[in-house]
This record gives sequence, structure tokens and C-alpha cells, in this order.
Amino acid sequence: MTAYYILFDNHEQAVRLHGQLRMGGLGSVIAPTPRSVSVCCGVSLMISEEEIGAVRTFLSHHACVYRSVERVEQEFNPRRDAYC
Amino acid sequence: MDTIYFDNAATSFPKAPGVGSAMAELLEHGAFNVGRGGYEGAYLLSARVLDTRERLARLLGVPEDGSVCFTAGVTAALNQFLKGTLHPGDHVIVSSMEHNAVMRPLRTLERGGVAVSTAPCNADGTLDPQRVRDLFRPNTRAVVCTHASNVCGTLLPVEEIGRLCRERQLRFAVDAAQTAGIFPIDMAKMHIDFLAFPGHKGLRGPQGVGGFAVSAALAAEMLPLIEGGTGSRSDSELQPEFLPDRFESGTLPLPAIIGLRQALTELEKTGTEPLLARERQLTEQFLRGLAELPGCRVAGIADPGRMEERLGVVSVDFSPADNAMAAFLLEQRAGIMTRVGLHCAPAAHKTLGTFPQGTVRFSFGPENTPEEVRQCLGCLHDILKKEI
Repeated sequence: MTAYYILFDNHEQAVRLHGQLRMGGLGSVIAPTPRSVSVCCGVSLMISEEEIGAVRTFLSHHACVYRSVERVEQEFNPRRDAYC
Repeated sequence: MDTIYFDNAATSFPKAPGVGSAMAELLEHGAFNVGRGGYEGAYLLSARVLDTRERLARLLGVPEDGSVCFTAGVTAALNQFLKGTLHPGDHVIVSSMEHNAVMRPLRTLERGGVAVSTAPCNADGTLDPQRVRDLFRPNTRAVVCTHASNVCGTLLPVEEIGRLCRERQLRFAVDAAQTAGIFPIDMAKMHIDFLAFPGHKGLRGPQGVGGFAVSAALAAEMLPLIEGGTGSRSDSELQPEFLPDRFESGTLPLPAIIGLRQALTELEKTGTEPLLARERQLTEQFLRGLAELPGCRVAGIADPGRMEERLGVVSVDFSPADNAMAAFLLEQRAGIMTRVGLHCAPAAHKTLGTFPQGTVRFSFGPENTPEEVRQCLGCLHDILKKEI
């Protein structure tokens, strides 16, 4: 599955943009930043593949504070945390 | 015996409606951490903290590129400015009405090579901005000024001083310990680079949180006093440069911030204007009553016709009687709570001519009533006539 993550310097920037996107009718999910795209321990906004185009347009037309938008190929193993 | 609380300059009481229950609700049902936890409860709490910052920024007229940072209180905020901005060889100007939250850090800095000049205020605590201009030197880096005296309530001309600082490109820091939440503040209009505020006085939040609002230009050059974990850029052992993280290491006082948020919600319902008007109404009533009592002297502005120049903090000197005895009898006879002494502001008391005996300070809040002021005047009348 492909997902997109908007990265930030700090968690409040993520919360602020989450609200801005919601006001603009766009969905996002606050989530821990995937380790594969940043070693920073902050939070990110996860954007679905279907909405990333509209979100990019929104970002280019509004005063939004963020670091980058990253594409992540998620290979989530449902048994990852099963130890027995 | 009923009590009357006239010590709102020390801390507001009662707190704004709902402050206690908002804090209890957080502690009972989700006192998570922000910037650390990777789960919805932490994100929701983070949104409430951000909302508190944004409300403060609107209330204080913080410039578009400025930020609000939380500290343990106004003293910590002032220390951050003074010790993070001034360096050996710098010169700083203060008014003669400053609290020790400013003067003690400055005296320490003075020993390290920072020069300090004091602009003399008048005997009623007012200040001619020209006195500040007279002290400018080539190496003057900043001016620090209280917005209103914590001893006598006199307002200082911060907008005019701010203009002078802007002309000279000096940093201007204001101690809003007595005005935030009571008197209108517009950092941008007043040319303030750094505004220190308490959460528990005029804003009527809980003790344990205060902060500062800072311009982007000053934030970039001010060194953080406390460094550590911020929940951001954890791959680096260097303190983040961005705000508020640059000045907010360690876990925030989240219950206090949530209590402050509730207090701001209440304040936004009315704005500061009616609260200030009520405070001044009580002050005027009190000053008129005091004028009829022999054996006491008001320190600062005593004229009830000059309400526009002051807040609801009134200092009274009962000497040669002992001011402490006056305060003691007020509580014993009528449950009236005041603060006696030097109010952590020896320089202000020297300016007002009340050093070292100090004064009894009466400070009004939005929950006080004309009837309480009347009772206090009656009690003072009896004490002055019979007991001291």
C-alpha cells in the first residue's frame, strides 16, 4: 500500500495543519513518523493516495508550515508483533 | 467569619469558572504527554495546548511571526530574556519600579560585566519616557520595564518607551505580571519584543504556568537557558532552533496549561474592558474612602480622578504605626486578606518613599464587590481609631 506522510519540525505544526486540512475538507491522520523517512521521533500527517493530489494543491495555496511530503510503500506485517 | 480576598496582585482568587474542574478532568481522564506519545489522546491534548498558545497570541497582540512559549511563570520568563539576551559589555535600562524578578537577575549579570542604569520614576510611580532616552548609550542593548507596578498599580508608558526602543533598534522587554488579562496589550503596536506574563494573576488561571511572547527577531538571538528533550529532532544532540521548542525543553505543565485555557475561554466571553472598569470602580471607591481616614497615606497615585493611570492595586502606609499590625488586624477583625511588606520590589518602595517600612497592599479582582470595599473601609476606620 502506498501512503504519503507530511513531516514537520514539531508536533504542534502537525496538529495545526491537520486542522487546516480539515477546514479545507481534506482528510489526514496524525500518526507517528515512519522510521524509514525520518529518524526524528515526531508525528506526521498520513495522507491517502487518493487525496494526496488535493492536499499538495492545498499546501501550495495556503500558508502551511511543514518540512516535506514523503511517499512510503508500506509493507505492514500483521504478525510483526506476534512473538509466540 | 466571612473572608474578603484583596490579594489579587499576588495571585487571583477565586480562579476563573471551570479552571479547577478542567484540570481535574485532565488528570483523571487523560494526562498524557504531548510531543512524545504516538496515540490519539496525546494528539488531542497537543491540539488543546496549541489552542492555548493561539488564544494567548490573539489576546496579547503577538506579531504574525512571533511565538508564545510556556514557562513555569513570569519570573522564569524574565530570567530567560535577561540571561539569554544580555552579555558582558552590554548596557540595559530599567525603570525604578521594577520587581526583583528583574532586578535580582540583573544584579547577577552586573557582576559579570553587564551595565545597568535605572530611569527614575516620579514619587507616584509614573515615568517620563524622556528619563529613559537620557540614559541611552552606544552599547545599550535593551530596555526592561514593568507595565504596571505590583506595589501601587501605576501604569508605565510602555508604548512610548517601545517607540523609543524601535527608533534605536533596541530590544524592549515588558513585565506584564500585573496587566496580562486586565489591561489591553498589543505587542506589535507597543513595539514590544518580549512580553513576560503569568498565567495565575489577571488571566485567572492556576499557579504553575506562565510564559512569554517573543518576536521572531529576538527569538533568533536569545539563547535558551534550559536545553533538553523537546520531542522533536531527536536524532540531534543540538537544541532545535525553531519555536517554541527552542525554549521549551522537558515536559510542559499540562494540567496548568489546560486550566489556563479554560480561564482564557472565560476571559474571551467578556474581554478585558469590563474587568478593568470594575477594578477601577472599586479602586476609586477605596481611594475616596481612604482620603477621609486620618493616619494613612496612599503610596502612588492617590487621586481618585486619575483612574486611567492605574490599576486596582493600592498600597497604604500606616506608619508610624506598624504596617504588619494593620494587616494582622484587618484579617483578625474582618477576614480581610492583604499583603504587607516590600512586595519583592525594594526599588519601587524607595521610589514611592515607603522603604523600609513597606505598605499594606490591597489588590482587587473581578469577584470583589463595592460592599467588600465598604466593609474594609469601615474596619480600617475602627482600627485607626482604636488600635494602632
